Amino acid sequence: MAREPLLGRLNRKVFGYLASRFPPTPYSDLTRRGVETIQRQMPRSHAEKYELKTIWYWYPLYCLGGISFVAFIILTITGILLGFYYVPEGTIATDPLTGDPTSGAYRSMQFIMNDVPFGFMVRGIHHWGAHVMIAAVFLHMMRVYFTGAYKKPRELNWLLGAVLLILTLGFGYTGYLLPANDLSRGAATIGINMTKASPGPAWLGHALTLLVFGEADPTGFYIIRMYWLHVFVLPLVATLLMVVHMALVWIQGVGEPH
Amino acid sequence: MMPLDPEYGPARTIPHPVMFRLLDSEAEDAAPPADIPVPKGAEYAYYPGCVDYYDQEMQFSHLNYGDTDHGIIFDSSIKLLKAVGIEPVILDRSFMKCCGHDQLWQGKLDVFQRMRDYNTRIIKMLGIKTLVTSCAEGYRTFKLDYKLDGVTVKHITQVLYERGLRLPPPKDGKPIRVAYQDPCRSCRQMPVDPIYEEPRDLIRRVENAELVELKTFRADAQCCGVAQMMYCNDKTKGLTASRMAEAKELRVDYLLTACPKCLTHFGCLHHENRWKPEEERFRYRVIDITHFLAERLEGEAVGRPPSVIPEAQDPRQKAAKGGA
Amino acid sequence: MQVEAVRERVYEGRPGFPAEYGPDRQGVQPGYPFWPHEAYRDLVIIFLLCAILLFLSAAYTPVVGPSANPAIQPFIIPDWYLLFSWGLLKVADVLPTCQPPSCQIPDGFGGALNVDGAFWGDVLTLIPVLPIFLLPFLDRGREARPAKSPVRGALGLYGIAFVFFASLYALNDRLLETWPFLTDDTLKVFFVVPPILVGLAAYVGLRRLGYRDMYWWLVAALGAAFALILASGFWAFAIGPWGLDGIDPWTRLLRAFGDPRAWPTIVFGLIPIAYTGVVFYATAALRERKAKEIVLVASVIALFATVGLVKWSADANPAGTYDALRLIATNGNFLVALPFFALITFYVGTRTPYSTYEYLLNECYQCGKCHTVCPVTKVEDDALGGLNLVYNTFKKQHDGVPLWTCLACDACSAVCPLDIHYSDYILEERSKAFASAAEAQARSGVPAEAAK
Repeated sequence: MAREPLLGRLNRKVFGYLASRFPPTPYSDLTRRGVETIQRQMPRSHAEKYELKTIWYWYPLYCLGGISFVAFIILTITGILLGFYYVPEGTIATDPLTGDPTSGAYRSMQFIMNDVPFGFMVRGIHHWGAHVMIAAVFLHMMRVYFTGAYKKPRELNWLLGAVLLILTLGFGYTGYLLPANDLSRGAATIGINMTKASPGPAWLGHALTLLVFGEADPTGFYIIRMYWLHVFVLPLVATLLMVVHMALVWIQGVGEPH
Repeated sequence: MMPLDPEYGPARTIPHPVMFRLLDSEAEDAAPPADIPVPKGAEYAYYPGCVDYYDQEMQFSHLNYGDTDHGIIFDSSIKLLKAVGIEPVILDRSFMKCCGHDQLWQGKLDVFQRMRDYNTRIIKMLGIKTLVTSCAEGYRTFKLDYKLDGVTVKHITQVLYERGLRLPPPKDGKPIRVAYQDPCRSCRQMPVDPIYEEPRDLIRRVENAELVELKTFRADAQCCGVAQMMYCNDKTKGLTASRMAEAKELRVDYLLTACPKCLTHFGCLHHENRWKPEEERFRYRVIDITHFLAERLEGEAVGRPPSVIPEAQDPRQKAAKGGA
Repeated sequence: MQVEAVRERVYEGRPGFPAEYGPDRQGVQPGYPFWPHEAYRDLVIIFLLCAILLFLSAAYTPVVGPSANPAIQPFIIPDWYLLFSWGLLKVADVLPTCQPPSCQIPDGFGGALNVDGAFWGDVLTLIPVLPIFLLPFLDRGREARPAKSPVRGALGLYGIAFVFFASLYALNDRLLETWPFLTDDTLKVFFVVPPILVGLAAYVGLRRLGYRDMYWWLVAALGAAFALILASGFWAFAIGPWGLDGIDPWTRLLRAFGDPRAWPTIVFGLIPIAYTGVVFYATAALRERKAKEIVLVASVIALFATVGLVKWSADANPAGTYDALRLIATNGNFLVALPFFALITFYVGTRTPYSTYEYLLNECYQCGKCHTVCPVTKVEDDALGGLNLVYNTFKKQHDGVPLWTCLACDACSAVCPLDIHYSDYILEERSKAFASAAEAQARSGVPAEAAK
């Protein structure tokens, strides 16, 4: 009699170990069902299902949503790597050696770019990845708009996507405020001023500015708040929403205009 | 002389390619004749179309012993139009060409265009106001595929209906069951003026006729078998046979058509059927609606005797002699 | 039994299709398996993306720049995706401000609104953002295809053009530095005129793709363009801030004809006006093919004339040329944009739309009613479960049996819920087949009679 295949034996060994120590749960079944679900994949597109030989030349644009997600993963990974070195300290101090203004954040950026092996590459990938992701998100939104894939029954998905767009722009904005350079300070100034001028009661603008930036004038304290938003709050919310967004596409199927 | 197919009768060997080559070569000649022997400026013109041709050139009615009589459509139409007070100008083949319907649908666009241009020129030259046709395919072609501005195209049943054809009471009061085949071309395929009700109303004016509807009728009516004379094979005959079987189920006495092509296909199968005595099942008459109404007009008795097959060739006689 | 034979023929060898049909069928969605098909495809895309990112970071490494310095006010440009908001903020200075305590607008909570530039910037930024959120509730139509919903397409392109020009305005300092003959007002009008032109051209083009009537739309659009460019030309030369003040327009215009320095202005101004006029006339008065030829010739002439004349007059009359270019650029929204609009609108409005086959039949959603009523299916048997005419045609399996077996009885068209006229398709395809056969025969050199 032939021996059971290797993967099957491994499976039984691993789950056997767990099964003898934890309450009875059909781990193998669940794994198998999970694999089968993924293996079944998304429903076929119209063209695939009916083996249409007509080439719709906008079909490649349907990969833009996936590209934004992949770019997000790459950004997360490079962001984690950068986070090992970045210091969210925005208070302006004077460099004792050169006399130029500097800050903890700025110094950590210089360290990443000059002293960390391939730090400049990781930061470069993070920078360009951000631009690619935002561009992909915009183009994806345009594709969905022009192909009418926001119509019934996909309205909720469109709203999720719109929220994700705002979050992505928020990611970009909070991100380029972090290096504490000229651009960062200028952009922070504009941001603070525009938030202070929010339409509504007078106290609203001020309260929002304090909430988002942590201060009403760009002295440098905003960096720690931008950092926390960029590194924890936005990733958590965005990841959750992205997963729901993609799950809805899985459930409802891709909206094709045929 | 075509070799006769003893199994199914001579009509099966009608060489459609020959007919179409003849028609297509007609299209080559684009010059209108110098002298058209019909009055100009007439209000009504009658275009007989293929029936003229089939009867004279292809000798359908002679070959199948009058079972599929196309020429009588021409006579009947003229009689009926006269009965409603119309003296139409007759656009026959001496100066008109084939309407081009079959060529168009077979894909020979250039041939069709030549025929169309020629016919349109003649019609305009003659200053006709209303073109009456007894053919459903002609009706559709003249109405949709030709651009006859200023000319109204009507099917003969429409004209008869509008002008209030009156039929005398029948001599023989025996009730007859009549089925009507809606032609594809003049009904389903016409986005404007489809002809569903006019023939039915005319049938109802025959006092002893009871109109029964076939299994599918009006817009769902099944095609008679093959339009535009594309081919003739077991499959198309299968369709014709199934349609005729529907009529047989309803025990009709007449199956009426409004299109000579339908008449051709039904008549062909009908005739074949008569050559195989063991298969003879379509015991009703298949005629065009104009023929039917013209018969009623003259108050003729119902049920003309079938045509006579020469004894020497009648397989039933042979079978009887052989058996005896 | 027949059903089994059909089932086997249809479903064998088609991965992802459930073999069950009928009540035994499970609620399983067919699809391509994740491994290996989908995984391969995704990995290729991921690797491509990584390659691009690595290349960009190596070749165009971002620099950190000088540190933030509270002492100086740097000239910065925010990232491209936020430029539109900044541009709107900048353009808001044309809007009235109302700041307390001199001007009090109650804000509903007891205080007064502070309507300044920043406030308007916020409000204007909401303008492109809010419709995005409300879109599925504003547009409840069911038509998804871009060519059949030209309004949506036109509005979308209008929005994109609007955001693009808003972002451009955010860089107005840089632009004015580089091209000093532009004025800030010209750049402000960028918000208004070019997006509308883009939207209109898109609408015309999409209507055309949808097989709809174009003639009057083209005449209206190009007529309006011509009228506008005439008016703008007149305004620019006669009334606009060029030349001497205090003189009435007609005198000024006539005087310009006598002034050699003004000749370049007149010539370069007349070229776009004449060109737009020619395009308008061609569309309105000529048949389509002739109009296309005329417009092509006119475009080539206009292009070479402009380039050649600019080069020549830059040598012969540099001062006059500079005046001319400055005037044209200042009124660029009309004098430059409208000829391009005319050409693009003419082109998209007279393009051949998709063929019947690809477009009209594409409406089919495979309900199968045509297949049910087709009389040919009752007598012909064919591979793959029967002669599903519309479907097989849609799959480009149309030569051979479906095309030539069709009786053209239109029973299918009669029941089609989308009113697809299959007989029109048959007519077109059969005549195309004959035409290509005739062409092939003509090319082969065999005389027609011998071929018959």
